Amino acid sequence: MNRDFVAGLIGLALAVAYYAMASQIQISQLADEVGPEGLPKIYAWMLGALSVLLMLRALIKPTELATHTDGNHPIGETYAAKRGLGILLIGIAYVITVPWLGYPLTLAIVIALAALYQGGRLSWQLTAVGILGAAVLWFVFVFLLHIAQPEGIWPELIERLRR
Amino acid sequence: MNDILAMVTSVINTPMIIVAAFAGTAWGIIGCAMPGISPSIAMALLLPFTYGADPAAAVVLLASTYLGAEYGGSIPAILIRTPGTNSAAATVIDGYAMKEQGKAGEALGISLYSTLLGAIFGVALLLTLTQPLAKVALAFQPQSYVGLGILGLSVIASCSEGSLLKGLMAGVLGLMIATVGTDPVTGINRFTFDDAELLSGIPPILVMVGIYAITNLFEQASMPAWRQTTSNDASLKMPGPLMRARLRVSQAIGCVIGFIEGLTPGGGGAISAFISYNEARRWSKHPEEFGKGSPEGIAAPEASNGAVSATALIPMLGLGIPGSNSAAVLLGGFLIHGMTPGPLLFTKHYDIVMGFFAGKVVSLFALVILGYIVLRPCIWLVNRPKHYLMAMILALVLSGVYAIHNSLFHVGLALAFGVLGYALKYFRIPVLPMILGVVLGFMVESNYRRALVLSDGDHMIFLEDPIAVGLLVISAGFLIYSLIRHFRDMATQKAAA
Repeated sequence: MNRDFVAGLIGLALAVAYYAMASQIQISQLADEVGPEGLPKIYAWMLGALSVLLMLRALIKPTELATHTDGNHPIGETYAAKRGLGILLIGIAYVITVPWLGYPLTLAIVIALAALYQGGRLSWQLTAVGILGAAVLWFVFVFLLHIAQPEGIWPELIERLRR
Repeated sequence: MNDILAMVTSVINTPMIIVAAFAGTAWGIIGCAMPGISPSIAMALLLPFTYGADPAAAVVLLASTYLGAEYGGSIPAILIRTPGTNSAAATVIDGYAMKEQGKAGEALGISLYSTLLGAIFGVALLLTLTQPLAKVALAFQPQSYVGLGILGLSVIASCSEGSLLKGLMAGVLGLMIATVGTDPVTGINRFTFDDAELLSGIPPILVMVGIYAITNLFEQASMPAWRQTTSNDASLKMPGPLMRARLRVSQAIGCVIGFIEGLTPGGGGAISAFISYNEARRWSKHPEEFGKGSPEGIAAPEASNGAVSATALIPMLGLGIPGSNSAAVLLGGFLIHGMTPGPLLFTKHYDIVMGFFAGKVVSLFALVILGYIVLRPCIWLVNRPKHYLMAMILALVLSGVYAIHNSLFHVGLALAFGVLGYALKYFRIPVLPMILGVVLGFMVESNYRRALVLSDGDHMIFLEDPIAVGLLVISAGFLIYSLIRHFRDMATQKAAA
């Protein structure tokens, strides 16, 4: 299937979903003539119309490369997307674990894991980069800029152990 | 005279401006010496750091990064034939040829000297043109702001990277994102999914960090490690009097073209660098040397890059319209500190704007000093394993996004925008129109509806305000010009095929 056609299809689906949500916006007694749903509905129509135009153009003039051919990426776009997905998963893992493990530890793990994923080898150097990197960022954000980062379960755990 | 005094006072009162100018320039040079890190990405990575900083120092940090980046991008272009930034692509042609002839230091010197001259020219224009532009815009009514917003959105037509249809789709998508949060007139929640974190809308900064920095990380994950240089011994060699005389014409060409392209929304550094290169060859006494290591082939695009780094900020500061990715990120820096670039910026935040201008001047000195000092660390950095650098950038992004509002939800949101940016690139949909939509969407909607409240729903109010009419006419003219150019390009491509 043509890549532009797929983009148009996604755009159309998005426009329909957005219009449906805009239709459910509460109408206030104080609402002006346009109302809170006025422009969102216009945007939905615009996106829908543009998406249909893109799909039509894709059908009439299929200039784009088919999605399954892996386009013009040097090592294939499917492979590239999979590699990108790995970084996304590391990011998501950070969001999930940082409230438990705390900022410095999670960050050290994330740095080491990301470096490993990007082609680094498991070594003392990689561990050192993880620890040092986390220490530097902790120093900059928490110590220098006074920006509180998640502390994790450690303060509570230490408090319990003290008791 | 008062402005100069205000600039000097702001530097004395806020010495952090000097620190920010030097730090930003250094980061710009070092960051963009790494292939794959564009000026906008380098600036986006810094955004979270600016949150707790002094407003003037924060925006100076970002603007100085932009300037440093223009020189930084030429370092790998000359040394390893890999442009660090898009705008350094033209420098590769003769820069690398000179390096192959054993003149790497000379090529780097010409690059620094020309970037500096272009930047001085650009900063002079920035100082003289921005304020008059903003003064004109002081008489703005809500309906005028609608006209201004539409003028900003008409920029989409010229930054659609070859596909107007896709550019418009991206623009509408940005407008949709801008509707998330509390309605500006009635206070009703829209598209918030009952989540308290979405009540104040999606901060444009999250969209920018996601679209520029995180998308880049996803892309870099599959890219092979960049070629490492053996030029650890490269040292800067500034051009002598004879060489300076030879470079004058090409630098002047670069400055003028950089100025025009900088003012033109969607123009950007890469386009102006290549136009400057071509024009310099046309006017050169030694056109046969171009492509084989001509010093003028480096001077023209680099002077243009230096000029663009300042003149691209004129429409952003004066009218609040970012015409390039880097200007959009800088606008994000202003928004973080509660300053809205545009007509009221000079009256509401005069001291900060003067501090910003002073910082731009300081960054010129920083470029000269750091150009010498930072070169070796840059070469060292280009030689570091890519996996460590990318891992550190990921850690920096995750830490920085959290720092904006101390919210893990926002970290997740930035990751989601990273995915969106990747999808847009996959479908070859330009991202700048979407950023424009996000930045301008709220302004257009709130003022459009306020104007209609004032006129009891009569749309004629937009035609009764001369400023609104003027801006709408310019928008229409701009749109028509972009359409003509678009269809002309299509016809040229068809004929070539």
